[in-house]
Amino acid sequence: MNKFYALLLLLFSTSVQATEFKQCVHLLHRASFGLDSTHLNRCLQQADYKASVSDLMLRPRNFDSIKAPKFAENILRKPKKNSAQIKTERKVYRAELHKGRGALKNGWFKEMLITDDPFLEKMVLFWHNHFTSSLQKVKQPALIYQQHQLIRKYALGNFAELTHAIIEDPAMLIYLDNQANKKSEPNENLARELLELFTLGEGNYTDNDVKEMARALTGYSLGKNLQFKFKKRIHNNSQKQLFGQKGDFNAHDMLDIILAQEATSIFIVHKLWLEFIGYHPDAKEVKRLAKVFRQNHYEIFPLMTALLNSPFFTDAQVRGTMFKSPIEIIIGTLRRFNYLSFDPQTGVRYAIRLGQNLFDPPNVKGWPKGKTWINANTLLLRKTFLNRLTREQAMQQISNQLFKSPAITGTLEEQMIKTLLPLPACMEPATNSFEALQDILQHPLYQLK
Amino acid sequence: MNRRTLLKQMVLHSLAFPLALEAKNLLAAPLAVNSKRLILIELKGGNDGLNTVVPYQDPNYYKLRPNISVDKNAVLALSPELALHPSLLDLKDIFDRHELAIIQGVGYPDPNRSHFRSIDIWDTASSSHQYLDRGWLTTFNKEPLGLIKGVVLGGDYGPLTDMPRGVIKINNLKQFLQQSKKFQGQIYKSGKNEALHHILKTETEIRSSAEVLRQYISNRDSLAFKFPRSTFGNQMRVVTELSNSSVGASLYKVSLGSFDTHVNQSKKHAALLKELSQGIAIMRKNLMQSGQWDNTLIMTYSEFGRRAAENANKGSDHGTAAPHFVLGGKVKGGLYGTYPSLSSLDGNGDLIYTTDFRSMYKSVVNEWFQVSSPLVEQFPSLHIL
Repeated sequence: MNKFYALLLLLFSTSVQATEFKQCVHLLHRASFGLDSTHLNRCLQQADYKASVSDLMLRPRNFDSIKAPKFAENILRKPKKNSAQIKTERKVYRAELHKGRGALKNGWFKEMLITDDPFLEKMVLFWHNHFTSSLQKVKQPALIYQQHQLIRKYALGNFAELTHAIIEDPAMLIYLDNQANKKSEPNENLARELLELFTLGEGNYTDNDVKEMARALTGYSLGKNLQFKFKKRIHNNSQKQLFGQKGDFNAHDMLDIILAQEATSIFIVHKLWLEFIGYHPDAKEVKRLAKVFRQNHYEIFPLMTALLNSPFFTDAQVRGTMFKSPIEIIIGTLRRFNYLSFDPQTGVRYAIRLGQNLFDPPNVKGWPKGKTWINANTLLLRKTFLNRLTREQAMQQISNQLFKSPAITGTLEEQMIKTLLPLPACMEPATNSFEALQDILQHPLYQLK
Repeated sequence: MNRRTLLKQMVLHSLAFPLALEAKNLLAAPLAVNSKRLILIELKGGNDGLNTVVPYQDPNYYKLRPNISVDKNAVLALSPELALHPSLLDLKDIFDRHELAIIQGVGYPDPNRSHFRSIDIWDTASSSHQYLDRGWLTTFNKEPLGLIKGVVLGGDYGPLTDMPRGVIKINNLKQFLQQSKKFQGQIYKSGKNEALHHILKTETEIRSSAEVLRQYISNRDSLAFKFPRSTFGNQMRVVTELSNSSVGASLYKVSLGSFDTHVNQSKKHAALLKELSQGIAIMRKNLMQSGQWDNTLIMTYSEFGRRAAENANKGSDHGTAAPHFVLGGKVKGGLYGTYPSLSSLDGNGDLIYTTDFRSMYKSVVNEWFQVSSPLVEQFPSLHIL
């Protein structure tokens, strides 16, 4: 009997340990920016996978204490057309805009680079690609910053609250032209994207629903200081109807009706599935997760807990089958080697060349993602970037990056492969560890997560 | 596990077949030299059409533009009503040889005046309120032949966005070749991993393209007619050399700009038009010499024209319709379409288009390449070839 239990214990302990390491690799690739020594060790130290997920997701978060950076304090005033010094004023205005834009993008990049809360940052990226706006159109860095802070606050908070807040967000109102949405002349842009891209998804509403929502959104506009202002005079306060309900609804009431539809929860879960699990969402599992979402009153945290613990996420077949986005490959590599002093502006520029311009998605649908990240040009650029990076001084101290853990065995090279690639790989033996590192970063699997 | 043995075994996998096909394509490439090519010149920023093809007898023109109108005595007359900006001397010459088609009033309904949105519309041949993802050149019913189908030398992929394979974007050819040297790669197994397969396929594409380009570099003759050493000049030079080589690509894109002349337009615009005109002329001379001019079609495009009235800064703001140039050995030169009226502008004070840009594209698709694309079918043909 003792022998039996001993065997069971042995089996249990080895199987838990082995699963833990590979599952940590997968979890951190998908829900973080890849492995970094702090997070890998934390992940491995937890009692089981569920606890590892919890540890990654749970961090003390306090958003109230964040002070706005200088560029974000004020709205930049466009010089008046009849101004005597229009030329100089215009120059100054453009310079300020340019500075503010740079500060925003570099700031976000830096935040992702040094963060202790990479899971939150992944969620912030996701929600920015969901509730899209662009600096190009909105222009004011202060307003984009305001939206960014809003998204950050609710990224792991409540989706319903986030959506309610976003329809009064100045950057969003500008981006989707809602200032031009008046009772006399409705502009359907915000209403349409709200239904199509932000909540229900195509096929779950009619053109008439868009019209009703647009009517409800009339007057949701901005004051002279570019902050939210409800303009009663241009608001259409007639009866509205949506999904069989009729009444004196304002935009928030309409939104509540939309959020009450099962389709909304399914649409959001579907999107999160594509973001974290990859392809082929399973209809039944999506429904189950959508139910979790609704039962928790649209709290994102319990949904993500369920998703990251879903057998569809932990399935070994899923590992290493998604493409790393430009930000993921740049930030991920830098974090892996603890290269936190890397110039954010350079990082932002590489990401732009690779197709991911922070705060400037190509259109309201967001970055196209998936396969479109990789073509002959971008793949070449990624590899060139990685090659250049490995030759930098700061990257050459790889021996310091060795993870001292019983879970990772083998030669330095084997350890590097295990902690850098999402899947096991065989490689030609290199002459030295530096060459091995270069080879690993050039390996096609390094592009995947 | 012995890594070398495993590596040898890995050679026998899915990539072996595509590589064999590509070797075949490389051999087939010389046959592609005489096939047709399209060279797109993107006039980035919105070219001022009114000062490019000038309605020099229309009093409205001078009323709308007291400061920036082109000098009546300097223009190059094409007809009793229209003339070219004096910088376009070489294009006038090509027009006189009946090889330049000037398409007037090119635009589209419900015009958008945002750079980003409007160039998207032109790149994807969408309607003003449609959002399409792929470049219009990727929507043909027949894929262009050859390993390298398209080469982008300036700006972004634009009309070639999301071509499934065969498009390379080279800002700097030398750099591309240097960087791709590191791809003398190992071969890996992809199995059922679609993402990995895509990466491996793209790597192969880079290697093969680089190989083809390296051959062109080592075999190229220097051109008889030299291009100026400028960004645009270099782009045009590479396109000309590639057109004369066995690389066989049929789609090229170069970019000139910025034409976004909001302030103090006259000098800037004159210089840009001169660059455009001279660049095209030098390209034409070289291609005539190599016998490739009859296989070549050059087309300009831009996100929009500019407003009819000048602005307060001796420049012009974002507008709508503008004329564009289509030229080549087989083009039936002349003036096409109708000049937009300067007396009946739209509600914004902008020109109303008279030729939908998709008609211009239709000539490329149907008349030149003799293929079809759903995006252009319903528009009237221009019959310029």
